[in-house]
Amino acid sequence: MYQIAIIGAGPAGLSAAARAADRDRKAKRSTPSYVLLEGFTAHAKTIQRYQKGKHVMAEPGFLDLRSDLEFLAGTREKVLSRWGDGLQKGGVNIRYGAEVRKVSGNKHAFNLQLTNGEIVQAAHVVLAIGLEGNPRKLGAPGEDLERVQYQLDDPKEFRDETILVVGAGDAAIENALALAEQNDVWIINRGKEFSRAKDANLNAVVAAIADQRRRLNCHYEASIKSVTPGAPGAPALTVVLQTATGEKTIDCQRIIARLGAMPPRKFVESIGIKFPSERNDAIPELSRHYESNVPGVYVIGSLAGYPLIKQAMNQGYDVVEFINGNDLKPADHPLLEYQFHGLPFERPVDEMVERFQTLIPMFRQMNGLQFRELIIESDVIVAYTEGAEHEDAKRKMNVLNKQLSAKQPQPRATRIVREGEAIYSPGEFGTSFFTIVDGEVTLEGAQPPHVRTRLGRGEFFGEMSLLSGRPRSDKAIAGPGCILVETPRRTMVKLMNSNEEVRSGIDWIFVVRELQRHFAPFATLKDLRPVAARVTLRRFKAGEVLFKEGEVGDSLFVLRSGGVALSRGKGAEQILVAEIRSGHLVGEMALMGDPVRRETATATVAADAIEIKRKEFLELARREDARLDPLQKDVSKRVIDNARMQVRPEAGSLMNFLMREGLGEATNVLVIDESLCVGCDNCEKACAETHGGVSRLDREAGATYANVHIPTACRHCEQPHCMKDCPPNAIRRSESGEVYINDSCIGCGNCQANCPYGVIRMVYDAPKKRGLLSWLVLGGNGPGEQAGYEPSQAAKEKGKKAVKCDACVSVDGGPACVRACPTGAAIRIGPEQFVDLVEEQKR
Amino acid sequence: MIHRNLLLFRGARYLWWSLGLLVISGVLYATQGKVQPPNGGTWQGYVLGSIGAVLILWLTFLGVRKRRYNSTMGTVQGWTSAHVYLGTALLIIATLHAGFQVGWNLHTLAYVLMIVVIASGFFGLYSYLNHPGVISKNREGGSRAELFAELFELDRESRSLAQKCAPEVGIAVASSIERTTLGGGVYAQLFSGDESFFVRGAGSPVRNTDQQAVVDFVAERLPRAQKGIEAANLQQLIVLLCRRQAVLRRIRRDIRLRGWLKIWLYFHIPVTFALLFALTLHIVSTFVYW
Amino acid sequence: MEALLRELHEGPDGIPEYRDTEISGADLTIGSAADQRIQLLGRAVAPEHAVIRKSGSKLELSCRSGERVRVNGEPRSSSKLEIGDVIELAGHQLTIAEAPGGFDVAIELRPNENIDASEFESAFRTDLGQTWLSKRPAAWMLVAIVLIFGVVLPVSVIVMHHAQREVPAWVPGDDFWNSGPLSPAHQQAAGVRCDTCHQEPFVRVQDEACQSCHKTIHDHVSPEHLALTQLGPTQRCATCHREHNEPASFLVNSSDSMCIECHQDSTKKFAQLHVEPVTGFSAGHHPQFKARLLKPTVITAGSTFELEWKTWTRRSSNRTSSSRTPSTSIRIASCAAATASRSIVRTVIVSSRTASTSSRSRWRIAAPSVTS
Repeated sequence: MYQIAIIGAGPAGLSAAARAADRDRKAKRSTPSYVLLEGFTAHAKTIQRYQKGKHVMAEPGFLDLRSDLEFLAGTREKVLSRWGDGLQKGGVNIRYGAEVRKVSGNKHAFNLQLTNGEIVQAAHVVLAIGLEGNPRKLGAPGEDLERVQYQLDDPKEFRDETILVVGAGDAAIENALALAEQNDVWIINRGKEFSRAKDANLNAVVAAIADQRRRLNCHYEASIKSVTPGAPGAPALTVVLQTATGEKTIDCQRIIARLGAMPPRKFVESIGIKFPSERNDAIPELSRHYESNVPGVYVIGSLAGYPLIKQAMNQGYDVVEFINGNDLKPADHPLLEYQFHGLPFERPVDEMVERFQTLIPMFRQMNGLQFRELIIESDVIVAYTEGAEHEDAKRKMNVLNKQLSAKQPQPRATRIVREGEAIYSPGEFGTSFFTIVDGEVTLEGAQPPHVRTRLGRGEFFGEMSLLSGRPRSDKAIAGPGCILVETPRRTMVKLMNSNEEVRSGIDWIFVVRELQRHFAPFATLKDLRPVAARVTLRRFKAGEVLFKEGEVGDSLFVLRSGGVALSRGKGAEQILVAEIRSGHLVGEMALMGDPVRRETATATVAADAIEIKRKEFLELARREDARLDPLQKDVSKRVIDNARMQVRPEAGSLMNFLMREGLGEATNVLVIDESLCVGCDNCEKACAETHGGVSRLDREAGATYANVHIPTACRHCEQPHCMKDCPPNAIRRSESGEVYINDSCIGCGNCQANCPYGVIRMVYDAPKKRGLLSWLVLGGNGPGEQAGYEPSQAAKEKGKKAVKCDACVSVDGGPACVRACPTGAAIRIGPEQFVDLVEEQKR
Repeated sequence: MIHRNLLLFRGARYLWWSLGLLVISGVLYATQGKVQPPNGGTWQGYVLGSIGAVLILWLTFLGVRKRRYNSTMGTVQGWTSAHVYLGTALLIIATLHAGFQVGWNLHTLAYVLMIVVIASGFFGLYSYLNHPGVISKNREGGSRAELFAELFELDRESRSLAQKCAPEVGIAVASSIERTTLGGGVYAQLFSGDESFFVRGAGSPVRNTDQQAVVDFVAERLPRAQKGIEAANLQQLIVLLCRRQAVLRRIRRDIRLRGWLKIWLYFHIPVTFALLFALTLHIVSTFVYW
Repeated sequence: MEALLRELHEGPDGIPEYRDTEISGADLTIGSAADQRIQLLGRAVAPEHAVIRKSGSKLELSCRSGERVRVNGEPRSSSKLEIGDVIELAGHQLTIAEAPGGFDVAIELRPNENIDASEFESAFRTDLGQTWLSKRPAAWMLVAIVLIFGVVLPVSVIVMHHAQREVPAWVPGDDFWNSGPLSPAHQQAAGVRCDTCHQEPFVRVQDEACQSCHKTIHDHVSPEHLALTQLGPTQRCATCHREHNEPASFLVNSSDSMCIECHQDSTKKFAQLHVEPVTGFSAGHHPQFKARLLKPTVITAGSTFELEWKTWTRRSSNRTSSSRTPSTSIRIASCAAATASRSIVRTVIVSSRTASTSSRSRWRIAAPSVTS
């Protein structure tokens, strides 16, 4: 009977086993007190299945590793071999091919039944089985044939074969695209589209299928009915497909089925462990020591809600220690200590975490461990009164920060601010979200009448920028004794996607605050609740129409995110008259005077808007404290602007062009006036020379309309597409709005695939050039990117990295391209200047 | 204003600077003549000469500033605007410095080199202000690469269509495509030289300037067509050839205008260096034989 | 040579398509220009890139100078070709295949599908940068010319002159540095030797140079008088007598402004000399002339004689000179033509008190000696 039976030899299980092995060695035991059971034939099955050479990351960077095994970021091969070495050296007791079918019994006497009938007995059970489960099979005869595979190790292994890839998810698409380089590939897709896939994969596979030159095709609305081996001399497999139009028989050499995995939930539940909900991503309730509701059964790793390898390994170590009665602090304990170090009182870390969670209603629904994670990823901000208190606190934090500066990357610690200091100001680009743990914060509106709202414990703010990506529209002032948690967008988005209550809570406050801002600045949130409950939040896809010209309008929209274009006229005669950005109103004129819609409103990019119907609007307008003058003034100005645009169709069609080029979501775009540009390329040369010899701008490429040329260069979108999927989170936005890629880029190319404007390139470092004087006298490579440069050996080893325009965020003086243009043709403008640009063009 | 050209940069402030400088120079010049005729050797002449020399050096420095991409000393457009206005003023200042005296000597050589530089600069300014708009209109919002892509497609279509017609037509069209010239040497680029030829029947190549001859050739055969299908093909072929002619005209115009946008620099820059040396020698020799 | 060119393309459903062309001619030219037998597009393809010809019974590939292709993976500029050889160029692939009957050679072409038709431009020279024009060599050439004429030749000629060597007159020397015409007399005197007057480099023309010919010319104001003024030290001859100007005869400015320049401010500038200011040569501007009698003293020298003129005042004969030494000033504004012997040369003397040294004038009179 073992003391501990660990199921699953992933990072968590391996780490646990290594810890137990070390303990055994220290206790000089002759037989192991533990056993690690793995159904597969090797350790770390999921990572074994990664594609060859795939980069494995060691996030989070600031978390220390606490394990007897080594783990550093690197290629899959290196990671696996390090673990393999560690296992051998530690003499870890692993049994491969030992899949556990059933667990029964109770604490101190569990029976684990393996698939071969054998029973293993243990006092404690640690579940480290991960979320992958077993791959779903074809569900048709022939699913176990030799040439029917459920994973693809090396796409280059096969050449000139006809291969069927079954599935429409990310894995299937990635495999199909890789195989199509050297083989003829047919995707068998059960549906009509690839709706489950990530954007980048979706675009890539649709383009590849459409491209005649590529060897990739797709059978839509088809599934495999049966697979039989082919006759000798014929292709290896004969496959019968069930399609929308009947059956079809095709031949192939191989089938790769990527149909996802069966979640192990049933297995887990069969042990008696309860999940809090039916949702797919629900995590079992666990104690601080990772013990489930079944005493003696522990859950660690991704099954416990920790998808990162480092965390899993830490937990493996910890759980073995917990089982042996050693109540050590978790590895992230110090991180929390740093976060709470600057608080005005001292309390045990775990108590503080619990307290924080109780004080913030929105986070109460979260799993305790999840909330811990959130705190670690956020910033804790504390305000002190000006003077001695503030100085003391700053001094204390300086001492800590000096110690922490030795760590790479430097862990977060409490941020000290002054009472009365602005936490953020209007116009700043920030997308983080703030919750108030204690004390108070005053929000001051940026526009007159500069309404001030006081928020207290448990409330939150900053959601507008979180949701729309627009710069801050008000000022947040730290009040007396305020303690805040500032959570970055990534974490909030993850949270909102997994937690319905959090999402609806934020939506709700957003609606109320927008109503307040636009219609009733002096109303309290309580006053507006009844109205807020009756407005609807609507989502529009790019190109979708909100309302048509000529209709009778009975609602207005407050645009939350994205952009809307207003146009007049019909069909080919449509003239674009205005472009509305998030945070502004659309269609309000129909409720203020003229009820007929004078324009058609179309979403230029995916947009979210709050729809307020006439009844609710009137209710707001009839309030005593309603301020309609600014609204009415706005409307009058709008009417004039739109009319002016209408009578100059050239201006409208130019605006149309700008919108078609995607400038509806741009915040900082390079525009070249072709009637001034002499093609000297000094802008490109400037870009290259201020950015290590590689230009981020392609002047000649890009579309032109009526003398306005938009070269290929980053537009710093409101909601940057490139940021969506960056594994090391290397793409950031500065406070002044520039989107830039920092040094932690690993060259995965996701950003390049995601960018709809093709402004990102993957390049090697460029070699150094000689100085200007030497070029002047002797000739050779002058300023600018050297076409077709040969990268040095060091550059090749470093690999290709993503580069794009960063609006010269780190260059003195601002964008080099604009400063270098001798004729004034190149300028960078923001959306507020589009109308001026369009009006100025004579044509 | 969103876009402003370099003459109107900042309300043409450098125009006012230049005018001011010219007034000062004029006054200085006018105070000469009492003791000796105005020339570069009076103290006023020395002052004007120094101003001129400093101006020449600073004007040359535009080439360096333009390539100092990290510099925050003004913008290149500002520098270019000042360059244009002060360069024009230099013309007058140098003439005043010389007291309108010229001869066959090193000093006048420097003066002449300076005039060549300034004159080429005027030409350059004119091209910079005039040509970009014309080029843009000529390209109709596309790029030169698109024009060439269109030409390539037209070539291919014309060739394959001509194969379906009578052999002489096939030869004529294929040879007109193969023997189309675009661009070429300096003269050909700047003056839209067209050395296109085509082959009539079994004869030797005949001039096909602007593709007109081959169009005429095909058109002549149309009324003599025997079959309906032949006539239809010829009709379509003529349309293709005319489109080709139009595209080629656009490309030639584009090449020509871009050439003129650049040609003045082949004078402006080398002569500037010659001027710098001549200027130095002018100053030194003046004091060698003081 | 009869050649069969087979182009392979991917059809719409992945089935390869062939397009065969027969080419007859001596050479199979390969390049991006439209007149090449095998036209391949791409920036890396020169308008005329390579040629395949038959030499004897063998096929031979040769590239234009400076161009390369890859033959079976190896970069070559020329190569003999066998059946099965693969030539790669800018992503295009040409494979030499077994020639069917009636053909000398069969080539299978797999074009580079990634190349856009927009790269057709590389077949032509469309930019001035692709011509012989170049700024750097032109600059060097012009600079060389300037240096030759501006410093090399002049310095060489100067050195030769100093070494007393003869230099032909047509060789441009330091006369290239001449900034303006000389007055005819000076031009005749100096010839090509600038150092006649400019005797030391970087030093202004000194009076010794002038006096080497103009031996008896004296200063405009004598040093004793000059010391009584606020005018500073003696000016050089060249201060007022400027050469190298146009018109060439302008050696001395005879306009009023020349005199007025200094005489305008005489009250202050001439200090102790008490000379009235002059602002022009007319009634209101010029002080009244005072008649002064000049008394000559004859000094004979061989067959010539000299007259020394001194102003004669009634009291001057015995009077000791006071501090205000009346001094002679002779300014012969006009002189009557020397008449025949017995006429007394009348001179109209315009005199006002100006400091100057006594001057001698040398007269040559054509008649026999005149006794005083």
